[in-house]
Amino acid sequence: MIRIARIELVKYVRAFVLIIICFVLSEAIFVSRIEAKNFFQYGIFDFDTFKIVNSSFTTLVTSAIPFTIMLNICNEFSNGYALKLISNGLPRASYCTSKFILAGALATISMLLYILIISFFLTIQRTTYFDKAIFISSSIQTLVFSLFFSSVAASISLLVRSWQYTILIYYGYVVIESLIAYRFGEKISWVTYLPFHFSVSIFQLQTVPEHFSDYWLPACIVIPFCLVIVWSCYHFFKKADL
Amino acid sequence: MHLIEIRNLSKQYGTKTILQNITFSLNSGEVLGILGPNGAGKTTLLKIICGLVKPSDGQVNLNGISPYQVATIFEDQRFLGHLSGIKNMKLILRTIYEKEFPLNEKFQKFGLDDSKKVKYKLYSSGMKRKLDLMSIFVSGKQLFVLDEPTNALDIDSIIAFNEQVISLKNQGKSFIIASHRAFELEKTCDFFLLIDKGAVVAEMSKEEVLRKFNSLEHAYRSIFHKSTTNNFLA
Repeated sequence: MIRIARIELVKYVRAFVLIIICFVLSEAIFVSRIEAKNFFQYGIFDFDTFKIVNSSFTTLVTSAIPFTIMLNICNEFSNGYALKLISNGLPRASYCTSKFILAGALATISMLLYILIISFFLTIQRTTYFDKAIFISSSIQTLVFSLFFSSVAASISLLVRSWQYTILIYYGYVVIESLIAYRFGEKISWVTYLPFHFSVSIFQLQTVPEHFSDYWLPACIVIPFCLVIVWSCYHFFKKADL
Repeated sequence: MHLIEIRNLSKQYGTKTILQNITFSLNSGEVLGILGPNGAGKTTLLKIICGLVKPSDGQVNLNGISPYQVATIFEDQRFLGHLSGIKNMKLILRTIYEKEFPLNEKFQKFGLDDSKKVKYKLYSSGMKRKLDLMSIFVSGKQLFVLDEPTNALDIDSIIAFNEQVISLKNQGKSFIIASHRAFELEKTCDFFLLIDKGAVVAEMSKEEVLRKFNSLEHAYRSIFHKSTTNNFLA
């Protein structure tokens, strides 16, 4: 399966890079220039800049990677390539596994990109802020949350197989969860722990885990959520009419 | 024991019945032709046989054949448009079989030698179909499930295809071919299944067809009560 994923990785990375370029350009032009004044005016890498980089990566992890995966997988079904592989002997489970390996590969690439960008900023800019522990934990979170979001996106894509509905379901759920968190977040405590909202708030440094035990609760929410979706994907994809 | 046994196969999508009580069997070295009007359920039947679609009822037994030994061609299945013909072939063969095949000779044999480095999306319909055929004939499969395999092929290629089918049949390979081209099916098939509205209307051997109707086309017209003029154009 690793071999299949490796063969197709180039195709995914190409689309991913295009989306990142569009995303980074729009982010740099429209958002970061306003919010990261110290960085753009005085060349200082401070805590605010660090938060903005994390915030930008949140969008990358929650949008660009899933978007790449959803488009590629659904495209394989709409042009008949996936059906060609499966009807000519590739087991459905192997096809699913190769897509999850690809999702993992993109998550790893996003983590490496994160480390590269932060290291680059630290090298060329004057630094007033650098917390090694938060940097390491943010890097790990980039990988974990990328894995989480990309595996959810891959699962929905394999289950739905139409890019319009896949995008509608994925972003529809994200929007609904965000609205619930925004509306009831202060009144109802468990709303804070909804998987998407919780992942994003930790990653954007709105909630900074201080102890190792602080990771248990998100892990207990995010991992089972992810496992249920991936299991459903395998289960229903095996039985689906393609 | 038969190579393939289909028993009481039915398929419904909601309240719409696509196939009902289809039963037939096929042995090694036999070629079955499936004939029927548009929307009769031919493609759905083939998709159920190769596992793309699950039946609502009934059984499909592929005795001693693993999914790796089934080769298929369907109208709605394509290679990747941004890759060349040879890269597509390497990719799909590596993905399914995890090994390399000698391809240059095959491209020459299928008349695609000059265009093997051309992107698949620039191929004509006939060239795309040749690539489809190459991908199934290169790998030594046991069962071939083919939906309209000669669509868009030129006359030389159709003749070559028929020769290849007969040659593989003599080696013990089995074929299930759905097509609207009765005169082509007649050349290669041993048995025929005529289906309409999801049900088997007639099941005949080649000898029976020739003895009773003189040709498969006449058999088709007699069984489906078609006049000699095309109803669609009349």
